[in-house]
Amino acid sequence: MRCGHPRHDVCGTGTTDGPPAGRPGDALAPPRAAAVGPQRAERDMAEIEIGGRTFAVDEEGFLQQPEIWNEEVAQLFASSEGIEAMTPEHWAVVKYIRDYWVEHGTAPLIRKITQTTGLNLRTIYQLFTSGPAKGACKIAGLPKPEGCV
Amino acid sequence: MAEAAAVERALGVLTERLDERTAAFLNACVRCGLCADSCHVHLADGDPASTPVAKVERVAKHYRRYHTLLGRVVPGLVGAEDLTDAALQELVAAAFGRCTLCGRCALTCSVGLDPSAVIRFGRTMLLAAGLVPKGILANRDAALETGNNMRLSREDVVETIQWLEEDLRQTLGDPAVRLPVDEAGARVLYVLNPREIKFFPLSISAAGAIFHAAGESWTLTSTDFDITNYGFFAADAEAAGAISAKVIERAEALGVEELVVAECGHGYRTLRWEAPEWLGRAPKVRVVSFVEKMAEYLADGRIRLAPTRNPLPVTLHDPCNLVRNGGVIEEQRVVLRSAAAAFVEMTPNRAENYCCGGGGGLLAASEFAAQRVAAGRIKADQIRATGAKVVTSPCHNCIDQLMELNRHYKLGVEVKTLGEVVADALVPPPPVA
Repeated sequence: MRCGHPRHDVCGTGTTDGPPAGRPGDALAPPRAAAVGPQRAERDMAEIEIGGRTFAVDEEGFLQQPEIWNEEVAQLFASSEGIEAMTPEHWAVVKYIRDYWVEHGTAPLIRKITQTTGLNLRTIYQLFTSGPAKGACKIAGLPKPEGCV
Repeated sequence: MAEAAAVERALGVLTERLDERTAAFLNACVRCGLCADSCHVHLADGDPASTPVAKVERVAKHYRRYHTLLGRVVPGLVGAEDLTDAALQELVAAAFGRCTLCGRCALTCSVGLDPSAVIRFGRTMLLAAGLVPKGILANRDAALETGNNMRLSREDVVETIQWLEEDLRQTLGDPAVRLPVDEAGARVLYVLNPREIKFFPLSISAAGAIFHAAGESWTLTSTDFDITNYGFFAADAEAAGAISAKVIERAEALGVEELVVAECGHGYRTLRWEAPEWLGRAPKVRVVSFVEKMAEYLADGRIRLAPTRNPLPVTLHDPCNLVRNGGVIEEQRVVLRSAAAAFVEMTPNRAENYCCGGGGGLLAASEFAAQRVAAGRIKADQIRATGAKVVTSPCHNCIDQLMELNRHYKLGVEVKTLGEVVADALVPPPPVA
């Protein structure tokens, strides 16, 4: 089943159509992601266990294999962020971030998150107490965003 | 693993680019160890390798080997060592993993040297060897290539500011509030940390409310607005100069009188104190911190604050690069005493304050994340001892580390920029007739 995403191999919805050629998402990833991502993965690889499953993560707990992300993985990462049960509001933010990243190779601006989900800015900070980058993006299975975050 | 050529390049920095100040420091250190307990990293981990003297020695032993007669002839007798790949790997751990370049050790040095200057020189050697953490270099490169470290486009900036302006008008119930962008002729240019646009824009709204209340003629800019400088953290003077130049030249092109630097410790330090060295000239505009600006508005009676609007006890974290290394020390206290009902100092404070643990670019160096949070325990203990419910700090980098410490050490506080605290206490200006 295909979802229509250009980066279906890493989008986490449904199943893939077989092993992706080369590194996941190489063809469509922006140059920065292609240049930085794999190096970081090799250097920073660590493992964490959540709910009986083991995940390869960077030193700050960001998922290193974006293609294995799905809703179950999101729920497990959320629990490690102190979110016991993902509410519809949590899902709206996480799924939008995920879709945006699959399409654009970067996290969306907080403006786009609030305008798309209809959630108030302060509500989003309350939903994700680690913030949009270290909280919501991590649960959405993105690599750590650049900048002072 | 660094190759032989990389070791050669690092050695080239040590033998050919050693400045007189650093050379004097390397000669002067008597290894007394008085600096040991000044360092938050050493206080947190108790490891002798984390003492400033041990970190200085990581550079000094190679200095002796290549710059002193005894080191060349009888290295084993004077603790001189060859620069090798293994030594460079240890230097990475010392100069990045165990040091935020916060400079607190310089206050205790028995012979008056600044260990952080030596450790920064060690970073320059690592830069030549290609061993600076990749996250720091990625932010540096993003700023050089796109004008900001998050690769934000002009549209990203403009659309976010328009959205904030609408929101601010509704929040304040004042349709006259503006967040001007790229307006030539404004008196003040206010420059940002890109994370404010991307993820944490409430501090921009807060600044807008404060400028509006003060009746300031001001503008934001959609290009070259990034006050962060990861060239500085990479000890890459050429890149650091280029990054600072963009912001200063943008202010000069707009013809403003003042460049007001948002809450960012190293952004202020680089634009105010380091940039004239890198540029080889003084900026044609007055460079001032937003913290100083708020204190000026208060002193001049241009803004009025009601401290009862911030009733919870507030404590203040002093960012190393703004306070100890930047000289902005009392202004934030003047502002906070007017903006909050109960301001509690942490101990120690002002120039003697401990680093939050996230300085020196470490927030971008994921490989040292665990050490960074562990070293933050000293700051967490300081915060807990105040009993404050709100922690404020005029530095977005510190804020990010403080947010993480808040969660990790279960401090149960709210973390806010100083501007947000002040904006919450603003007494609206009387409507213009």
